[in-house]
Amino acid sequence: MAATTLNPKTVANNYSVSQFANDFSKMASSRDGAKDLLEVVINACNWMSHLGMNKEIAGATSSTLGPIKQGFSITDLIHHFGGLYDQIRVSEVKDSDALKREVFHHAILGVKSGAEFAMFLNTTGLYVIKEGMKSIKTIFWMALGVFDVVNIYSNVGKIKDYRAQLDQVRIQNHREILESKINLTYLQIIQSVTLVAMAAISLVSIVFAAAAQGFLFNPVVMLGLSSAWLVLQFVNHFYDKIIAHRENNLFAVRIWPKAKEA
Amino acid sequence: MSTVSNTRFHECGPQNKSEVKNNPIDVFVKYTTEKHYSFAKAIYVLGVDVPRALGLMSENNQTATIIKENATLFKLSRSPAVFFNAVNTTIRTSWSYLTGNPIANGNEKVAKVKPLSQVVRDAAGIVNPVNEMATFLTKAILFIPKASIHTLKGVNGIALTFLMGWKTCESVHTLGKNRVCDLTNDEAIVARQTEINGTLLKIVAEVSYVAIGVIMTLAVFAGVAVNPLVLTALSATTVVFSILEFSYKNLLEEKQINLG
Repeated sequence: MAATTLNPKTVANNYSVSQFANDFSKMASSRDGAKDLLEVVINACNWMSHLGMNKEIAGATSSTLGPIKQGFSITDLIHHFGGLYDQIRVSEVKDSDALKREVFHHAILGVKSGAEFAMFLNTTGLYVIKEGMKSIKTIFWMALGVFDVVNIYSNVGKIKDYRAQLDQVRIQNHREILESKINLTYLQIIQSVTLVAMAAISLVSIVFAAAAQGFLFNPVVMLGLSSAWLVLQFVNHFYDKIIAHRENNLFAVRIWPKAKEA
Repeated sequence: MSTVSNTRFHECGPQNKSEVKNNPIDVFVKYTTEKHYSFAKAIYVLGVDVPRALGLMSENNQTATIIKENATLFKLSRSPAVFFNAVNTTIRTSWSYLTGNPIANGNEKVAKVKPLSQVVRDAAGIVNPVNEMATFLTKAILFIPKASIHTLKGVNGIALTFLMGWKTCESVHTLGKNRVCDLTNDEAIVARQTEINGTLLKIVAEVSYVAIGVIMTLAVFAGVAVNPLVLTALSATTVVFSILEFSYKNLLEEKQINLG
């Protein structure tokens, strides 16, 4: 049986359909990807309900898939607990800035997952939270909002780094890759902005229910924002894969053969 | 209200890592986050089915029923992704077999031309997600009458028996190859002994799956009535031994922690 080791040269130059299919199946099998795909179906059903198309089936599908998506919060919660536990273990060898960043990352997403888990308990009827739901939703949206504001700042810093790298690079292909990375980071910023907008609208409608009137608080705005977030999520994911593929090709041509000669 | 919440931090550049030895907490976190669907199965089999079968929990326990329903739906919700994955793998394998081009599927590090037996095996892997998708739709959305997917369950039983039987043969073959008596180095003996123990745990789970497949096939096509206790015991065996195998393998490994 013929056998060849995988080297970057065997990777096709263009991002092919089969490569896309592979990346899609990897994404669908991952925890985050599965949650995103469920969100796509829920979002489509919400639009169908809103537009009055097959309202019953759309409503049933949305209300069945909602708790399933919220169920992922259990594993998310454990994941972030594990992340915090890891940070405690390496706190002696880690510099304080990196430690703070990681701890913040896991703590804030842990809080978000905890709030989502409480929503899951309430939705499934395992533990009915009556008055407390308002506080839980506030915590949930506040955590998401704060996290994405920090994400925006982090991405702005990343763009500065890429620009600094761009000034030093002379190879045209490498420059194109760095420019693509800058574009991707802008898209990620736009994605974070849509989430911050959703968090702001939700928080105002929860905390100041009486003041939540007018176009901004129309369900279509929220649906539109969540659809935009989802589209950007998939666009960013595959754009990132395409960039990684091009980067792989670049280094296959320029570095790998030299490494082989050495 | 729609809640898109699957946000994550976008890291870039090279990262420093620190290696630490895995402990039971690490293994638990890894199991729940990497094998989240198996975790859901473990919850409803070990937390609801087994206590009910042993008479420790009433059949009317409402909380247990809700937990089982939600954990089952959670596990079944993976079926479209698994289906896509299985179809994609089968297409790639068939293409490799027909054209003679070497490919690497999943975690394989070496690209090989796939044989016909691999094509058949990958094609058989499509049956289970189809069955799971039909069950998911029956339970969750369209409420298809259970009778209409009865035959599909039988076909799934045959596919399960075939696939797990094949995997069991492979595991037995691995056991045959890994003989400790060939080695003289102490470290190599320990490593091989570990691999043998892991394979033995895997074989128990695989044989239980084969038994479940045979029972499902006989129940559908031969009308054989099976005591539900037997199926619960077999399901519990698959869950327990899969967890044991995962824990055994991962407790001995080191993990990398990002140092920022």
